[in-house]
Amino acid sequence: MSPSLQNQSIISARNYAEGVPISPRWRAAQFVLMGLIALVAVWFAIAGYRSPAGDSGKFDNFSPFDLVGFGVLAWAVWLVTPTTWTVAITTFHEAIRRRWMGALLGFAVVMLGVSTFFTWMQPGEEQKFLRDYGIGFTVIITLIAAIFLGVAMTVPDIERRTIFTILSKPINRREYLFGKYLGLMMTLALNLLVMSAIFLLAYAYFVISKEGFAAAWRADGLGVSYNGLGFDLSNLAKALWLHFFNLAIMAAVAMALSQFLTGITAIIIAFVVYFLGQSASYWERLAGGSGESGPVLAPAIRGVVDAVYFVLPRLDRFDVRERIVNDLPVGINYMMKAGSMGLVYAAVLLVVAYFAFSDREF
Amino acid sequence: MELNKWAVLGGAGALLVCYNLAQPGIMALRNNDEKRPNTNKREAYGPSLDWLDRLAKASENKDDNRVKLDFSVMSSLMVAGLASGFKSQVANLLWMKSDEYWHQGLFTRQVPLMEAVVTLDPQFIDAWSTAGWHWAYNIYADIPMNPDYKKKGDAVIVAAQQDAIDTGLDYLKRGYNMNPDKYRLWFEWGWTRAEKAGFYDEETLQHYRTARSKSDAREIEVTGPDGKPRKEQGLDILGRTIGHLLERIPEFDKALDQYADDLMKATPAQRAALDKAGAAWGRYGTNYPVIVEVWEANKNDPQIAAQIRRLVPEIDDIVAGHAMRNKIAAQPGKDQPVGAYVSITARYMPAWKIMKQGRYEQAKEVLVGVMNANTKYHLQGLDALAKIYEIRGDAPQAIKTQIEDAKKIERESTQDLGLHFLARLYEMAAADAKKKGNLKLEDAYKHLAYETWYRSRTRDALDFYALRNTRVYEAKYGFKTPENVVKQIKESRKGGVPNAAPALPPNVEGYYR
Repeated sequence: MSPSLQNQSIISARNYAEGVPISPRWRAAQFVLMGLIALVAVWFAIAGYRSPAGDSGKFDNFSPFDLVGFGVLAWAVWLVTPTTWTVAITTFHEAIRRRWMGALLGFAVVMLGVSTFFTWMQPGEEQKFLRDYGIGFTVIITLIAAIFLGVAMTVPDIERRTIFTILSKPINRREYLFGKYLGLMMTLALNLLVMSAIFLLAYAYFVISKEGFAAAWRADGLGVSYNGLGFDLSNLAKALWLHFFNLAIMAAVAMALSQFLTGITAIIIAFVVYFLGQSASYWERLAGGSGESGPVLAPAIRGVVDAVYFVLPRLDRFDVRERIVNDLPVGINYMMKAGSMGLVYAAVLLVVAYFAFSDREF
Repeated sequence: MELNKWAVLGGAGALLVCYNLAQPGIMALRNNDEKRPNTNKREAYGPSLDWLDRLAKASENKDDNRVKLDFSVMSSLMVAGLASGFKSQVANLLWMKSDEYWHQGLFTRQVPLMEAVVTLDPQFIDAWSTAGWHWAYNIYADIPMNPDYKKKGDAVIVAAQQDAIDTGLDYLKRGYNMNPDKYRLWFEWGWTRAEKAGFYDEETLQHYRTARSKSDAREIEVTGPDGKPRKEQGLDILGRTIGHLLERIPEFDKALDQYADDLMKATPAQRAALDKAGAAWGRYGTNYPVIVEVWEANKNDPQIAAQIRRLVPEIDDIVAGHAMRNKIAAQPGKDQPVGAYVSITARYMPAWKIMKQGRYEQAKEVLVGVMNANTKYHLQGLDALAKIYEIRGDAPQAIKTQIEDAKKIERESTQDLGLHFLARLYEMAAADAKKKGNLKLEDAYKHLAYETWYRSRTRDALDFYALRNTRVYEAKYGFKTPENVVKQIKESRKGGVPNAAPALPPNVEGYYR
């Protein structure tokens, strides 16, 4: 748009680019956090990349690219200014006050709370059913929340013109956008935490009711819980924690799409991205044709598949049900690798969102 | 500002490149096919994608009857399940649909659904198990009823049935590969291979052994005193199954070792005592404990004790052997192994030992004698047993009935293993004749083996081991159905229990061609 055609009263990208000054105390706290992240990264590079005790460790690997995620996290910490934090807290309060959010969470809590009653659907494999149901239900509800809230982060402010008021304050667009994202992630974390707690309690209740309290915790290779309830709960908690990175990506997808598209279109596309992302391994397999059948697709089609695969979020990396159903521990090494890449991809999307938002005229 | 913005975008591109470059490391852990040490569990974090290869090949092998996941099976629900990450939940829904078809008798409609279920949820053991059973049993039984197959004739039916069994086994094999730490599919693969495909061999045994080594192999659910169900270690059914299979091959030496050494943990002295109990059974029949009973009641009476000792000179051995049998049987889970050990020792070991010496003709005579309760070879002490009954005070008619029952029990109970043993004996004799270069004799023994397997399959329609063996002979040597044998066994059914044992030891020369 030509500058001459711009309405000078409209807030532009140039307003308040500087933001409010940051206190040395705040910066010191940021440095401490970044230092901790650096320490974890160093530990991961030296020892943390190794598989859990008991694994053969044959495919343990460390790549410098694994550290990029730690860098992104440190960068994110650096970007959290007091203003960003204020926006995040405000967004969090707004989000949890939404009625539909409360209803969704309430519904999820009830359904997870009574999940043990549905185990009749898979007689003989009730425990497996409960794990699948609990994780599946938590995933779908938090996913809906991530997409619907993600799309509704900046758009309502623009439609209701409150963006003018916000950006007229000493706040730059980066702080606004990142604060919104941070607030959204806090909301999703709360959702995930509540649902996980209910699910894990229901699971513990189921195992204890089958085996008795003392026997449930024993890793005796018997009963419903072969490795003990502690092991099961820890593994399930790890799986749910990995899902948080899934949400981080989907929330960023929704926010990025909402910068370009209308609400409903952004929601639909976000779900499509989710489906594609969940199928990432299949895309990779089809592209590579590395299985027993050899190359599957023609070279030209493989080129397209390769290109799609390159930009696709690999959401299936956060699915570790294979380890859970086989009663194998989900390794911290894997969680860090997958989580690191989750942060990198979310960062890419946020940068794209910022790219669109930074110059946007309202 | 503009430059910064584009620089940030460039940074995003660099991050995306880093993201892609880090993926091989993650995929190495997800696809890790390494087995976790001391287990059969894959260390992988991600699911197996083998089905994609089958999907890709589905349209290529049209002639292959094996079920494959193909595009016609990829219903919208299944695609949604695969793409959304809610595979297990979709699998549950499809499973319920499959169950609905089962209750409607729509077997073939279940087929793609079951394939979809196991693809979506490879840890759904019930689904693998049911799919294997459905093919190997239900579809197998349904094929001869199908008008299309009826038109095509017996050869096509047999081939289709064999394919149904193979498909069932394929499901079970894929299932245990996906769930290697659960005993059930290892066992079911072995069981289906033995009892439906008719393979009584080392491979089947190895699967039973693998199943037995799993921690859940003996788990049973019981209701505790608080009314709640809980799991406990139950009987060693798989250990018994291994013994049972060895009996039916037959490999009697190994079967006895399995029962005595593995299941009973018997010492050599205990085995020797059980051998004596077996010898007593072989001489006096299944009711030999009555001798011990009468002895215990009268051993303080010198006159009667002397009379018993005259009738049964080995009375001390029998008493000791029977005491040992009772002592072992009283221990949890050992009653069946001890019973099997003693009965095998009584009925088959005499002929088995002779066969091992290479005296096949003599072994054949003893075995056929046992199967016909011929007192020249078996139950030689029945007269003495009758006198023992007399000492006990039994009426003459009751004594007669008991003696006849003893013979009847032996005749009926030795048919199954006896026919397998006889056929095996002929096969060993054929191998021996071949080694000696006597091709005529070899052919005659093979014919006898074939006929004996045929007796067994006619007697018991569920004897798939015999069925398979006869088919092997027919395919290899062109042997034709022994109609006279079939007729004789059918006739014998009119008397109630079929009698498939040859009345007399067949004359080998009568089978020369």
